[in-house]
Amino acid sequence: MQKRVFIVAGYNTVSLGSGRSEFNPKKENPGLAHYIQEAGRKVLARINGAEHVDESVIGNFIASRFNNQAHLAAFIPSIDEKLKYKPAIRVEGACASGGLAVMTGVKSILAGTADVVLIVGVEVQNTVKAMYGADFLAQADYYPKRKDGHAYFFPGKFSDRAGAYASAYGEEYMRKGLAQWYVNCVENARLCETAQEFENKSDKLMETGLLPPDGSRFVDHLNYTDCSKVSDGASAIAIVSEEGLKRTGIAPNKAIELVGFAQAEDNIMEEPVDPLELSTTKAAVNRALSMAGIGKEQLATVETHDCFTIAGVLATEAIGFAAKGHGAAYVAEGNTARNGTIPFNTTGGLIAWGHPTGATGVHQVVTIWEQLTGQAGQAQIKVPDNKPYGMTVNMGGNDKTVVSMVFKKCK
Amino acid sequence: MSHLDRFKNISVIGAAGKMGSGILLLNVLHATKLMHHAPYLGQTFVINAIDQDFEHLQGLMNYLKEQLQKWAEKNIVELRKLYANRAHLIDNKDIIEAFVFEALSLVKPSINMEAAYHSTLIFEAIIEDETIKSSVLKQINDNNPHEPFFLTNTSAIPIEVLNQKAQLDGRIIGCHFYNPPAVQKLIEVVELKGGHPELSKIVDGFARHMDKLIVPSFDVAGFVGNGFFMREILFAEKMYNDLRKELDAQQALLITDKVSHELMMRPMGIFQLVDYVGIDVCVLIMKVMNTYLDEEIVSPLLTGLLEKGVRGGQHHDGSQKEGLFKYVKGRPVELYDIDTDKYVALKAPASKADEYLSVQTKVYSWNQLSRSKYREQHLKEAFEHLANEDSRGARLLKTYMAAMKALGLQLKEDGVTASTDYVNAVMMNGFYHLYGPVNDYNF
Repeated sequence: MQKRVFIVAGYNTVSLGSGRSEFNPKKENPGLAHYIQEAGRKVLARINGAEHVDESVIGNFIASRFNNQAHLAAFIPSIDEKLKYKPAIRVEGACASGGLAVMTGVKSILAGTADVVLIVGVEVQNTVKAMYGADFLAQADYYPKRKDGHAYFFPGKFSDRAGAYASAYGEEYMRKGLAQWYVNCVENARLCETAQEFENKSDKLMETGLLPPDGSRFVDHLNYTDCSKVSDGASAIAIVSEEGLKRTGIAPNKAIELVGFAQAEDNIMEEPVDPLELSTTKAAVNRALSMAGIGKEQLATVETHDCFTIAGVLATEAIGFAAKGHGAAYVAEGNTARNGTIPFNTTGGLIAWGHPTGATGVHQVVTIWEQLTGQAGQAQIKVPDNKPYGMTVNMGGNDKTVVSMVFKKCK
Repeated sequence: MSHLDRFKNISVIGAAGKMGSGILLLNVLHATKLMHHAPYLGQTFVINAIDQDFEHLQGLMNYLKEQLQKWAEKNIVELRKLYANRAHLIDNKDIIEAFVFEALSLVKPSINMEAAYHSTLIFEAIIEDETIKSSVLKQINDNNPHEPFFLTNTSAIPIEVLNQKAQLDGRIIGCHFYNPPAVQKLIEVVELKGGHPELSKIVDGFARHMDKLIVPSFDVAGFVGNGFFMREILFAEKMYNDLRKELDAQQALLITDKVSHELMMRPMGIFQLVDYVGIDVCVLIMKVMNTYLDEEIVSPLLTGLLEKGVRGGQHHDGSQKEGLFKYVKGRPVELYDIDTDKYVALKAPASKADEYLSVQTKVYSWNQLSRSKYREQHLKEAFEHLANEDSRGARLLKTYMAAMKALGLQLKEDGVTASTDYVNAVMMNGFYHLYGPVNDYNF
């Protein structure tokens, strides 16, 4: 990279939805403005004021449906009046909107148009019941396919992938991997106060995760526990240049450096080339690692887009930790647990921290920032000196838009 | 005419009532299933919703819309398949709206009994009064050229009496739904001796389609459900009266209710159940049973309350009216003091009642047990402990449990049912008890 790019001052709101004791679907819950302002203001406080911000980017998937609200960039000045008349832009790439927002900010730094960029990702989804939300979220795929799709469209899509995986490698074999992924996520979420499953006290996680799916009520190859949460929330972070780091007065050891990134796009009108593979993820990850000049073995942790447990398992294969078809065993053997070979999704991932779609890509970066700077609290993992890297994988649609980034701990 | 053809034009009499509205909803769902499959595709279905006034019918249509919407949302996976060939219905929302619209279009609300003159099936759910019921049924039968089949929701009147008085020539069957009919799985079916053989097949088919459980009862007033329930009320009243000899009315009532609720691990106590059903309804059913049975089924306690205007039952929105208890969000918060005719806060007398019962054994709540897969084991252990305990509560429980078992056995002996298994099935499915009264617990 022609310039050094740093990530500082991350913040996540609570991921609100079922599982949180303060959540009541029958009562009015906080809206978009609340989340944008809460997350934005916390970051501004940490960078010592809005006056340091040159530009802002907000990532959001589909507030125009869930909240009847478009034009989200114009919410940015509501965070702080010093942001009024400064540039702000909203970006959308389905569930990868957050990752794209970060990428957009990075490009501003690299282009030299900004030294400090405020990034906010937000989504408020609990405004409608799940079966109506499924209609909105289905727009992350090619709309003419909606009619033939499942009532719960994306669970249906990833159930198809799980069905293909089960056919190829065995139902029981796959189920053990999916169940272990779920267990890992909830156990990690219990260590993170903002996680949606923070209060989950079940002592039967594995038993629940192993239950056979019931296609008559839901989808054929996945359980509810295999699905990410329906969430409201926002995440925010600042992207700064070296000059920006000085300007905000943040100590280098409270920053992480972006050392590689890639964004890959596949044709939304086409079905996946191979349902057993996340080929777009693979392309993005390989390019990001290559740009960073490191191998996957040097990663201390990964935040991957486990919108479904099967996506988590397939990601271990796409990144290369497991060979094709071996991901379920890799997960079942504990390699991706917080004390495993490569801890994945250390605050619960989309399955248990939550999935406020437009915020997810930013939340992943915040989590890596927390882990590499030693600010992850109870959820902190050990980051070995010889593995000072963390990676994010943020996916939109059925592996159509993928953003992958590699970060390095700063000294 | 096939059994299913009869469902193409039906009438629900008393459709705006508590039971009628649920029976109507079931029939609407049944018809919407039929009309999407051969040979009924594109055919006309008519469901007449008949009741006394437009105000209640308007409320009924609102209720139906709300319930159909909820049903469609819950069953969207099935519904999407049903509407797969309707190209313009793409989103779940489109399909749910189309379903609700089409389902509601089947229903023809009316205040005129004449609407039923074209129906081939008549579901009757009006007041539990032999004269009114038989007169309505007779009027429809006399004017309907299709020789309709009648399914009566009576919970107490012998079917033979209605058959004879309305001159239905055997075209009637008892089809006793439990409240709320759309949710409760149980239908108590009472076949008329010498009745039309097709009727039981129609009810069987309907139950199968709607995932209901049929329990057969013989044609004896009150059948199994009310045969048990009304006699249990009388037993509870006797326990109350016995307790009154040493305690005040508040304590006697509350202790009896607590024994039948908490110690028996049921969803509610006997007096709360009386409130739920309605004190007026219970008194009416007893009156009906009294007419046909050589047994005195009279409750001075409930009759006295009714005379004072304490009625129980539910509002149209399903919320609980004041009865022996006063309720907030469905939970009892005050108790009717029979001595002073005033409601008193429940908390203090409840603590006093617990003190009186002084039960040592850990009993589970019905809520806990109903969700537990170790339910049988927990029940067995708790009842074993209670059987060996010598507290006042345990002694009252033993008396109550033994009396319930005797009641169940008596229903078989009196020819109300062919098996005590059916008694258990009715109490477990219709009343949500976790175990039947005829059980092996050591009481």
